[in-house]
Amino acid sequence: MICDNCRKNEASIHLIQLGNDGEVKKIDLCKSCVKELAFLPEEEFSGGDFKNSTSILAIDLGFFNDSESFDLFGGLNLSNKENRRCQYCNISLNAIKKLGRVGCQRCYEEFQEDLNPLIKLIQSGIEHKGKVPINCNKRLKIEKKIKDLKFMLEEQIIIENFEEAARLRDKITSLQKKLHYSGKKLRK
Amino acid sequence: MEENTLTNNDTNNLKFKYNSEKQQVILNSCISLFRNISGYKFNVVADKMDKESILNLVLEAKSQISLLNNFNFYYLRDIPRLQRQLLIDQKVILSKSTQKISGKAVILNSKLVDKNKLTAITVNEDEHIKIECKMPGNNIAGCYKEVLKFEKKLEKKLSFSFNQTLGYLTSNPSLIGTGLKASIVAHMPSMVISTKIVDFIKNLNQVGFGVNSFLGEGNEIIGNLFQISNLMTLGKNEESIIEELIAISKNVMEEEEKAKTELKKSLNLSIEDSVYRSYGMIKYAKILSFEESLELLSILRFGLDLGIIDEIVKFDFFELMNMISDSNIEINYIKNKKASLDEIDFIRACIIREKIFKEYN
Repeated sequence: MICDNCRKNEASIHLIQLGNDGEVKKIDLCKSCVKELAFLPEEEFSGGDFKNSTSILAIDLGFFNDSESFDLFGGLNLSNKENRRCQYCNISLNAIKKLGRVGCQRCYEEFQEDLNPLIKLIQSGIEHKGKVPINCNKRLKIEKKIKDLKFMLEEQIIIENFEEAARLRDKITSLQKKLHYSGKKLRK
Repeated sequence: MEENTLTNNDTNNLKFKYNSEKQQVILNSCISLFRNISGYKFNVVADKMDKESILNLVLEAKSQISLLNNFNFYYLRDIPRLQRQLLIDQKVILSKSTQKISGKAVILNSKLVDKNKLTAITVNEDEHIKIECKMPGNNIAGCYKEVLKFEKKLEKKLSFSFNQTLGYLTSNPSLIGTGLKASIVAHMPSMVISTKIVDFIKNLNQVGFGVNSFLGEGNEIIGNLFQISNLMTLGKNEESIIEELIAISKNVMEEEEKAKTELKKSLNLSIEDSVYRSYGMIKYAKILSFEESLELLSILRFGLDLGIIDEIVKFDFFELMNMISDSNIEINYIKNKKASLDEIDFIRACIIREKIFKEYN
C-alpha cells in the first residue's frame, strides 16, 4: 500500500478519519509523513482546522495495541538530538522514543519541548485538573529546595570548592530522604 | 420491571418470557490508578536496587495501614506458576510480568474468593504502583470509591511523583495527570452480528474512549467481548472520566438492546442456525478449547436473550468464563496434577455442560 500523502513510500500506518458529516475516510501514511502530521506548527494545534487531524490520530490510538503505539513516538522529530540524555536517570531521547516510556519524573522537565507536543496530541488537555496529593504543597517546597541546592552544588563543583559541595550534597541527600517519608512526618 | 415478550414469532415457537434486568451486557467494571514514588527512577530504567527500594517502601507502608491488614504481600517469584497464570487470566497482573518476575510483587486480599470485588495493588510492573479494583457487572463508581480508599491511605505513607501542571507522573505519557484508567467489559453479540459495532467504536474513539478486544490479541475478537476504556488521563478530572464512562456504559446497553430488538424483528434462519449449532457443539463436543467455548457461549447467551432458545439455564457468562480458564481448571479441578491439554479441554466441556444444561441442575 502506498502512502496517501507523499505517494512514494510504503504506508505502514493506517488511519481512519471522521469528517464532521459522519463521513469515514481511510488514510494510509508512511512513517515520515506521520512525522510531518504530528509536527504541525504550534498555532495549528490550537486552531480549529487542526482539530480534524488530531482526531485522526486520537482515533488511531484507540486501535493501537502497545507495540504499534510506539510508532507514534516515532513521530517525534529527533534526528539531531537523539542522544541527549536526561541528567537524572540518564535515559536518552532515543530510548524514550523506542520504549514509548520516559525514565523518571524529571524527564518531563528535561525533555519538555519534545514531549509537550506529544502530550498535546494524546491527551485531552495539557493541564492537570484532577486531585492532588494531600501533602502536595510541603512536598513541592522540598522539591524546589532540592532543585535549588543541586544548582548550587553544580556551581561549587565548577569552582572546585569541594568542601562546600560535599556539604550541599549531604543536605540534598537528607532532603531527598525527607521527601520519601514526607507523608509520614508531615502527618505528625 | 420491563418484560420482553416475544410477539409475532410463530416460526420460533417461543413460550419464553425474559426478564430484561437479567440481561448481561456490561460484565465487569475496573478502575486502575497508576502511581510512582517520588525521587526514584521509573521502572523502564530502574535497576535491581531501585526496585528493591520501592518494594521495601511499599512493604513498610503496607505494615502501617490497617486497611491492608487482611491483605498479603506476595513476591511474584514466590507465587507458584499455576497461581501466577490464574492472576494473569483474571487480568490482575500483566502476562508480560511473568517474563521478568524479579522485583515485582502483588498485594492481594487474603480472601481472594470475594466474588463481589477484587482489589489488588501491584508493585513494579510498568509503573511503581497500580491500585486496581474489579467488580462484576456495571459498577464503575463503586470501583473508584474502593480504589480511592486505598490510594488515600497509601499517599499518607508514600510520596507520589507529582507535578502541578502534569499531575501524577508516570513512565507512560498516556497515563499522566490523573493516572486513572477506567474500563468496562461489554458483551455485544447483537452489535457484532448487525455490524453496528464498527460505527459504534468509531464514535467512542471520537469522544476519547478506546475499544479493545477483551481476550484476543490485537484485532482478534473472542466471544464478542470488548473492553472500553478512557484514552486520556490529562485535562479532565477523575469524576468526569468516571461520569463519561458511566454514560457510555448506559449507551452500550441501549445500543446492544436496540440492535437486539432489530435482530429479533428480522430473525432469519441463519441466526437461528448458528444458535442451535452452538447448542449442539456444547452439548456433544468432547473437548472444547477456551476460545471456542467463549465463542459458543457468547452465541448461546445471545440466543437466550433473543428468546431463540430456552433449553438452557440463564448462565452468568463472566462467571463461567473465569471458571473455564486453563489455570482455574488446573487448580480447582485437576488439583495441580500434571494435565495434558486434551484433559483440560475435556474437563472444560464437562464444566460447561454441567453449568448450562437443565438436566444437570
